[in-house]
Amino acid sequence: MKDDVGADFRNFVAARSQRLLSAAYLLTGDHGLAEDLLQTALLKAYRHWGRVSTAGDPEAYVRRILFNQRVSWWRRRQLEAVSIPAYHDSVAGTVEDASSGLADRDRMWRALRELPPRTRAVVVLRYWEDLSETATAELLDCSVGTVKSLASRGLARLRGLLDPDPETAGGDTEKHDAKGARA
Amino acid sequence: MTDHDSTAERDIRGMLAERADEVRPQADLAGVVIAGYRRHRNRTAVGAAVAAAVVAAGVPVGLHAARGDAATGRTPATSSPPAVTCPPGNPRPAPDRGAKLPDQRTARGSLGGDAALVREVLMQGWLGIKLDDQRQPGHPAAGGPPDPRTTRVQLVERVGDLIVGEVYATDTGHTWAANQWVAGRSADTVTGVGGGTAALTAGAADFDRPLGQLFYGEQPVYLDVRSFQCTEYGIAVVPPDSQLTVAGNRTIDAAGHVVAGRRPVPLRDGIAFIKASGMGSGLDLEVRRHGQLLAKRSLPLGTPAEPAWPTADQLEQAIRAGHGQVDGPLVKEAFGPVQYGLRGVQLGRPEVIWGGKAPNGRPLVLVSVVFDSGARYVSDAAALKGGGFGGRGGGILPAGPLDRHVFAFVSADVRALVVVATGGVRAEAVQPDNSVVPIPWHDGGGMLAGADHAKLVRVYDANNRLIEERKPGTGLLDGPNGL
Repeated sequence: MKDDVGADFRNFVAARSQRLLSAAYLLTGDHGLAEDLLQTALLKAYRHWGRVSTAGDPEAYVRRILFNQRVSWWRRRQLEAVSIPAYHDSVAGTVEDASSGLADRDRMWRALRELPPRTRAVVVLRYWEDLSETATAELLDCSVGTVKSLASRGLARLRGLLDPDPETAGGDTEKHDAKGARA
Repeated sequence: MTDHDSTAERDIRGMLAERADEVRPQADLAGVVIAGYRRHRNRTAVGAAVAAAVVAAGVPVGLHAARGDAATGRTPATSSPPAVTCPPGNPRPAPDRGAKLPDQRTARGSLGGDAALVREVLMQGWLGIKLDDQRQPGHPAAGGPPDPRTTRVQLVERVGDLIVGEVYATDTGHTWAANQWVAGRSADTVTGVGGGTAALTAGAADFDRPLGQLFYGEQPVYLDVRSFQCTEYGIAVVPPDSQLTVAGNRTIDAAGHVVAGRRPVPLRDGIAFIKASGMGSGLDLEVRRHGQLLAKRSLPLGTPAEPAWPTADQLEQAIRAGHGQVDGPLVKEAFGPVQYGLRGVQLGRPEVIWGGKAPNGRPLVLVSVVFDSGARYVSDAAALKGGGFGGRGGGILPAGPLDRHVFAFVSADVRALVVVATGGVRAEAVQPDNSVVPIPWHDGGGMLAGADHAKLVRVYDANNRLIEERKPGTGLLDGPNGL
């Protein structure tokens, strides 16, 4: 039995680890943290691999752990978030050519890392995983309204890079990110 | 991607895709995780009892609680992680051979007629029930201690090289019942290995039934998972004249639909122990008697392990027959995830549809599994910068001529629009601004950078006739396991 479990798990990891690690990296912004996060999620999944595999969609299970684990890590280690330079500071200090697409993306990446974890998770799920608002809400165990709100705020925050007008740039708090009723 | 993406949204998508490509999983990540799990497991005492599972049709009892493996202190099999080794059980006291236990004449199973063995099973089972009661008193309903006069041997059967038996008893007030599994390599070594308790919802009249029918009414059906000597079995105890079937591997029909299949499970005296060693969609059992469905349940066990697939010969043949410039090592890696995406499905012939080098120099292959029906499960794989490979996951293509089908998708792994049609000689992409860009073409396929948002692709045959016009990312049905 153990060999078959191991083989099944190995096949799963071979098939999906790239995608999952990428997600972890987008969530954490740090390669080492991303590896830790993915290993933690995979370890949790492996502990119950029989049931996880039998349930039919192990990737969804692992992804759910990944995204929620990240939020929970952040809650324990909030200093990590404030250690990243504020967006406008970094723009002013490092960008040489604002018209360059590369520079824009670099600034956008730094701004993404600056987003609160739940907002960042929504941005990654909506714009990289291409999940619907409903699927995103399901995965993060929050309401569709919360997803819409966080996506809008995250997008505005990132969009603000291209138009750094305080009136149009979004806020970065998650004060409305309370678990609400599902839509 | 939606059609309504703003420039900012497209930029965000582009940035995320670019950054996502910066990381690569470490080599043998699964091995690292498994090793970490084993280290953790070795440090953790495992002993908590968890719920066993019982399904009974027309059964006057409901499972209330269960206990761990009394002999070994290990968690019952239904939710235990895969065992690394099978530790020896804790020593047990000797059974009270002077205890007044009823004679057993109706034990089922191939060894149910061996009076001496049945007696030993009875004593060991009774001992296990008493030990469990002492270890975890407090039963579903107020009742008394287990009553030796109610002990029943349900079955004694040979399972591989083990003798396995099951013993029941109820309390003196007939308000709860317990079972105990007994196993060993010989009559001298059988010992209790754990069981569960159940609240009785029927009256004492049920105990007037013939021995061996205790707790299970007129139509006893018992479907459960249990581990003996670290090997998990699906257990079925059903009326001897009923039929037991298990869901076999699913098949894919010509239209690309997933079709469930069932096969009979041989019963001996209405008993079956099913060893399911592979991981899959569960052991889906169904019991029928005279055409009537008595019980149906999916046990958390894998489907039987499949033989190695694909074979080296199959791979070599597929690589040789593939169109384009096929990267052999990449093909060999590509079929692992394909097999994973097809778990629980009857596999077919491996096929390489096309292979080529992306504009960034990295190889990509489009592979498939051709089912007996002619339908295909198609998946791509691309070599990634820095090692490893990735892909978009697979989909099903209904049966039909392959050379008249156009595959078109954007591969984030090689950052190119990929178009494959083995009967095509040239292709073009229609960009969002309606400009038409030819796709560099080589033996039935091609890739084009900078066409992530192409609206359409068109492929033409040697007679300059349009084979097909397709929107990228369309044309395949969902895979059977959602990968």
